[in-house]
Amino acid sequence: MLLEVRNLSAGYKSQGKEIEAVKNVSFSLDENDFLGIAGESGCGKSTLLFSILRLLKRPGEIFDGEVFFKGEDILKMDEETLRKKRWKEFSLVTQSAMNALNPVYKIKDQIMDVILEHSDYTKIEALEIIERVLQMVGIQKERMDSYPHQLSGGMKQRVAIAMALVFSPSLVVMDEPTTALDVVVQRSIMEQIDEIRNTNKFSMIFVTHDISLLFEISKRIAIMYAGELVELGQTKQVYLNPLHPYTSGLINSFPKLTKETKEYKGIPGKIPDLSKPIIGCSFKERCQNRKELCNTRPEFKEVIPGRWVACHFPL
Amino acid sequence: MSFSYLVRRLLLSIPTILIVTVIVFVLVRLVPGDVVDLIIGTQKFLSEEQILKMYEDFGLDKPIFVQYFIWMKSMLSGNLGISLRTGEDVATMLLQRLPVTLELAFLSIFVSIIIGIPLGIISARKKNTFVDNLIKVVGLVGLSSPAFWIGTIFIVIFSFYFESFTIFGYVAFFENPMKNLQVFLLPSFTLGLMIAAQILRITRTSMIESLSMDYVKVAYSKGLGKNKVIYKHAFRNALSPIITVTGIQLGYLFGGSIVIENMFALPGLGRLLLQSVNQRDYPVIQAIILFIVIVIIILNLLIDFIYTIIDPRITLG
Ligand SMILES: Nc1ncnc2c1ncn2[C@@H]1O[C@H](COP(=O)(O)OP(=O)(O)O)[C@@H](O)[C@H]1O
Ligand SMILES: [Mg+2]
Repeated sequence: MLLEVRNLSAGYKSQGKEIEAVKNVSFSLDENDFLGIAGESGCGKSTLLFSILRLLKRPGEIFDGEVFFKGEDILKMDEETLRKKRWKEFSLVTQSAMNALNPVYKIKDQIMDVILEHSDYTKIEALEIIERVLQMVGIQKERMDSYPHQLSGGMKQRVAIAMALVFSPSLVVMDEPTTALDVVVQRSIMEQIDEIRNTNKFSMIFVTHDISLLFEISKRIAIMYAGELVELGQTKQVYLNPLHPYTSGLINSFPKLTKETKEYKGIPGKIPDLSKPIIGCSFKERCQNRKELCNTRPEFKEVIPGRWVACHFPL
Repeated sequence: MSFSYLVRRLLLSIPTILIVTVIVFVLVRLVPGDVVDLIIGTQKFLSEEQILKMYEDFGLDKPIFVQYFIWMKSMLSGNLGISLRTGEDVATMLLQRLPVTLELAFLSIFVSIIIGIPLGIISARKKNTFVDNLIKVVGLVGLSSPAFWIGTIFIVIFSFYFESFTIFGYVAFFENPMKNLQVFLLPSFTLGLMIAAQILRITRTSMIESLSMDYVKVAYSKGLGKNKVIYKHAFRNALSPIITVTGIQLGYLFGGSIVIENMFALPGLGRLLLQSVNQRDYPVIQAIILFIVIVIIILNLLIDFIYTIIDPRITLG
């Protein structure tokens, strides 16, 4: 087991208001795993990732829970120990390609600073590493002398991915890395990531609101709703046989290439306000199967080996 | 920055110089009472002819636009004219006062930077906490306290508790460095604190923005040390607006701080300007204003040039 998240709760406290953006989330990740986390915008995906990496900044706060990485609790580790593990053991690719790179430094300097921070390589050796990782994501080495604004959005995102891979970490966390890009570029980057994962083994948590993309690429998938995981399992099984009504609604909401284009319908209603306490199942307002029991909170539990769901009446 | 760009910028600044000098030229002549009135004072024994002769000597008998062209011509030939009161060469007067003003300007800016920037950064990092609020209140007091008030408090405290401390009596740095710095200490802090409040404010705003950017999060997750994240990644990106504000303040200071120079009896440009206005010494006033305008124009050019160094996205020309 590489990563184990147990009962993680986190959120934001500001002006007396408390937003519980991550509620009691548990899941685990194996070596060389690929977990996709899907959920609507604002459901707490970024908050979850940043909590796992202990990057949440005020007013953000972790309320409760444990995050074991290779057996050690990241949330309890002292800061210096954690700092030395960062990027060598786990790295991050952030939401927008545009802002992940510092606009005032050349590409090579931004990759160089992390190499020199955590290793004894000389600058010349570091440059060779930079060349190699850039090549890996399909960027010519001459580009390392460019500033971010001189690159296209797709190239910037490739650079950000290359940067995340310099130390071949065992975990790479990607927060909507392709959201800002057009579909063609997005696809080619996804293929590239797949290819790299074939040669360099690493585990990946890939977060997006684009659930159809996740169904195509991920090995396992977790569905997040209003700060909670509502379903988790092998991607294929979840797709073919969704257990949570929300998952099933999501699957029906995008067109399928295999079927005749008939109708695809959205889920009526909208996600609940996270700043107010939610009683019972968070999805009940929008659920067609809701019953009396749904006024108590359903537990997120393993119903079939490897399949987790938080619903009193799984489909 | 290309040479042609530099030339274009300088050409574009000509209208500014013309407009400002015309306004000043007219304004000083609108002030009731002119230099001749002041020289005569209450001794009304000069004849009408003698008075007319004085106006002629000073070149004040001609229509105002003729006076302006004569003055401009003389400026362009590098002759700043002579003082109507003392007959001294204006250029010499300015050069005498300039070191005082420059020293005060640089010391004040130095004080404001070493106070304003660190406090601004702390404030941004501790946004909306007690520390931030405290710094904000201090900053607000600094912004809204008039210089003469802060200066007076300094003078009172220092003259009361540190008797051996020299508050007044300018000495050139090369004559007596210790004494020179003592004399400049209070005025630089008085001015520096006020400017620090502005630098603090802009540093806070600008740092809050850059600290919230994704690349700062990435820098943290790279496991870089706190200082590297804050200074190398966040502060570097927050720098442009801070430099703008600092540059503008420096521009004002180069013109001499009238209140502070008078309060601390420093013989700088600000003091000279006030004296010259009181004495309606037109050539001196005009030369000082022209100097200020030119300094501000050059400073702006310099700031734009610095932008291109700190931000590769900006190019001039
Ligand atoms: N700095 C913040 N202060 C207060 N609330 C926040 C902050 N950042 C995010 N939130 C709230 O937390 C919830 C989850 O946000 P986020 O994790 O960014 O969602 P996602 O990444 O899924 O779009 C949202 O309701 C959002 O409004
Ligand atoms: Mg997000």
